[in-house]
Amino acid sequence: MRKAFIHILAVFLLSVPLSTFAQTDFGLHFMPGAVQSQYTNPAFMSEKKINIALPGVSFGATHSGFTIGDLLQPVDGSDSFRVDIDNVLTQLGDDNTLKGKVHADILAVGVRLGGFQLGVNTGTRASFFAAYPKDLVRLGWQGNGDYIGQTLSVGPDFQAFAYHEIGLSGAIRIKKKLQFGARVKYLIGLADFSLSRNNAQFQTGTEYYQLSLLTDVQFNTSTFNMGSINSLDDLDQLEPEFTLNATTANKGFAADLGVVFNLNDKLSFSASVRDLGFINWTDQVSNYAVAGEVNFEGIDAMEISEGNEEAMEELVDSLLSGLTVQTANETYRTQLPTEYYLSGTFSPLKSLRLGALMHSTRYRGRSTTAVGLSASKDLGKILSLGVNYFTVNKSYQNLGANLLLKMGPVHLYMLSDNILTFIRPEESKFVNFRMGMNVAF
Amino acid sequence: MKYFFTRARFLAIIFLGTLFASCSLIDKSDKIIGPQWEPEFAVPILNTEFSMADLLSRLDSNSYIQTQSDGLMSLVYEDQLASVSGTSLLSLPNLPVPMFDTTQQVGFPVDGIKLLGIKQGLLNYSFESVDIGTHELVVQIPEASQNGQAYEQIIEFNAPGTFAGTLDLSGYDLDLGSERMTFKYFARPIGTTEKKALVNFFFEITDLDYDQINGYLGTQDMELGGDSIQLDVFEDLIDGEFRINDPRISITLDNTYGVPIEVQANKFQVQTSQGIIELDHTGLENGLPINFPELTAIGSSSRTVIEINRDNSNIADLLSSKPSGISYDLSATLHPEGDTSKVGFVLDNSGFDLGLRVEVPLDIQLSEIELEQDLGLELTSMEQVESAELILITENRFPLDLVLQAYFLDEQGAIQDSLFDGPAQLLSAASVDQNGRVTESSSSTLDIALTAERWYRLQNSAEIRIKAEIATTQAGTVPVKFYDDYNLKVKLGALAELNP
Repeated sequence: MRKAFIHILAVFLLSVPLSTFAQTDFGLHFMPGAVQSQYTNPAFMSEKKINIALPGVSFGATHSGFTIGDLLQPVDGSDSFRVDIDNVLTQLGDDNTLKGKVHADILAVGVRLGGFQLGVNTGTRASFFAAYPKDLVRLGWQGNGDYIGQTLSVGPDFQAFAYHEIGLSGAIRIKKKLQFGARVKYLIGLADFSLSRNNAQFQTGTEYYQLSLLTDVQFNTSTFNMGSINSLDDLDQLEPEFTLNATTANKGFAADLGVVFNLNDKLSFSASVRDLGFINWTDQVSNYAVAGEVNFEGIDAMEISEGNEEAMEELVDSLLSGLTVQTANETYRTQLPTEYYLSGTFSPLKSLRLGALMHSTRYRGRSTTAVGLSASKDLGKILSLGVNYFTVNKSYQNLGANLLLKMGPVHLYMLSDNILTFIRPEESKFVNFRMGMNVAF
Repeated sequence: MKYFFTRARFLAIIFLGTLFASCSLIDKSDKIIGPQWEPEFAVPILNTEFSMADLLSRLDSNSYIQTQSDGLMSLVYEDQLASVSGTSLLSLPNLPVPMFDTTQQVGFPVDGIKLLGIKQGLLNYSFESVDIGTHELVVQIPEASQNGQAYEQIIEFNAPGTFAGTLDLSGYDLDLGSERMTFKYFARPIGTTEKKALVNFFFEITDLDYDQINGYLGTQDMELGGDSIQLDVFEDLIDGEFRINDPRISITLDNTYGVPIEVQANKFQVQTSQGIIELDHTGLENGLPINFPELTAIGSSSRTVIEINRDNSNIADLLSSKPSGISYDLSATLHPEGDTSKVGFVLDNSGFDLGLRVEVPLDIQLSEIELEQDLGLELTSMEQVESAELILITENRFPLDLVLQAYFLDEQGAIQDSLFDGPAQLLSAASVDQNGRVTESSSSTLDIALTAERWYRLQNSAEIRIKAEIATTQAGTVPVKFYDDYNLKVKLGALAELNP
């Protein structure tokens, strides 16, 4: 198992920058036996009266661009691989995202009383997000020779943050047809590092290739203090400090809302929205803004020919003088990645469930939609197995599997929405994994 | 439970099996070949404005380029010759005076001197006395005076015996208006007024030098010296025609001799590839009178500027003949007319400060001027460049056309390739008005394609030979002038394919 764990870790580390993951708990959505499925729709109700979710962990990562296989191309006539950035460029979209998350569920308790269900949960979440335009990669790899006369938006986007979550949920079933559910979550922001403005435009002139970079960038930090930066020279004196406290003054709220419509015993539909909320970052906040325009129109030979050894340094200073750098300490707010689930489940047999799901995520002005199918089967009273398939961002090799072991009141679950990642990581576009243990009565 | 464990084991095997299988690519990570980065960058390289004023401000104070008050540029060469002093002009002989009586008059050995300021000089005397007792010798020169007091010296001696001595004449002015000097002496016993003559009395003035001479010094020649100026401006010029429209040579003489003087050029010639050409300037050939201070302005200097220009000489032709150097040698003549009535003065520090200034205003015409120069190459820092396309944009406010070609030479000097397929017009001359002043700048754009093959040959060249052809506006058919407000704007960009 240790070796297996190392391989899992290796696959994860390799996959993080290379996989596509829609941040979807796809398989989990179709695992009614695991109380964690209620995280995807608070209107889901457990068959058990009491559910206790013991600590569990999940992680996932996505990259909407390319795979290891796209990056490493076999060399004809040998067993070697060549790093092929040109091929990578053919796989990139105009805007590419890299996301990651780690959720540690500490404890959740749910109680169902007839058609009512109440629950409370707590956990810690950490998310990472980066976005970069294809043009930025082309610019770095192929140069700006193909962009003469064009203005490129090359500003990347970024957010990394972590928070505690304390949730209180409730669901109600009305005449067996309708189920409504909601979860309100109190959030405690632990740390944040995010861009609130990321405009960067690069232009190559047509006359004799004059270069221009127009920037308006602001990044904000909370509990990650780099000191005051009011000029580019201050970057040399940075003294980053990071103190992770269990509690901070960063408060936030979020809500999950869901509905289930049971057409009959075999067919049901559900819709939900998850993490509709925000965090106000107020604790040890710094806002670093860099704005201005850098224009390089060539070297003034008259300056250089003066024999001034510092001429180039002065040139750089002159160019950078077009930028202003400011530091402020103003509170700011970030939105959570909001997920939308729309699904249907058909159970031709009591032990067999077939499902279809459309899932959408909206975050930092970008939307991602995935659609897929699921099938799960109870193999006796102890074991349930499921598989699912979905496609997102032109990624079609996403085959998931899940299992649920019921050993009396103790339920173990383990799932991944793309087991192909573990078979052919070089062609995988996302990875996720979740496992945990519940006690249900 | 057995069923459960059987299935669980099966699933675990499948799951772990996929994990190990997934490592096929990872295991080959030691056979990964790095990427081949061949970017193409478009960058501006130069954005420079060269103005004449900027260029001038970078030249040191000894620069050959100067600006006239109206901004017209000139090439200027200045030379300062050492002064020629009056001491070397006139030497004064000793003056022996045998005294046949107690008073003796003699003529001064140099004619024409009216006043001699004695800077130094000795009056030597000798005599015999047959008297007995202590006596005083009184020596007098009435024409010599100091602060209004005539020269008189009293020397004590004890007779009998033979006596000799020396008296100092320094600081006395000798009035030679009568062109004669009077020497007097007598001896007297101490405490009496009795005057006695002495035996074999002899005076002699020796070591005489002056600090001022008034009078007529006679016609005398003096060498002022000369020099050779090397002109390497045209060194690299291999062909073409040019015309310098208004060259000037100024000879400045600051003269402190208070007598009439003429200056002559013993030699004033220009070396060209066709041989030596003599300056044709009537005044210098025959002697030009120069200014001198009057007797009322002793100690001051008078300036004379001798202009040699296109109106009084063939200087324009001389300097338009691709000169490689100028040689000159000057002399002066005092009292050239021999007019003894013209009384002047000479001080011991009198002399000439002779300055030469060659000024070539950039009022020129150039046509088909060809220049050539071989330059060493050092392109090791450019090895990562695979090929490049350069774009050169110029906005030229100089009235100059510049056509350029660069040849790549191997170690034997053989041409391997060239920068352009044919000579390329780098600059187009600005247009000028009838006065030769630029009225409108000229813009041009030149694309330079350094293909991979051409770039390779350039990098492997031992030297590069620059051949340039220069002409002024309208192919040198009209005069153009260069002013300090002319400028050249150069923008250079490169689209370079790299192979780091």
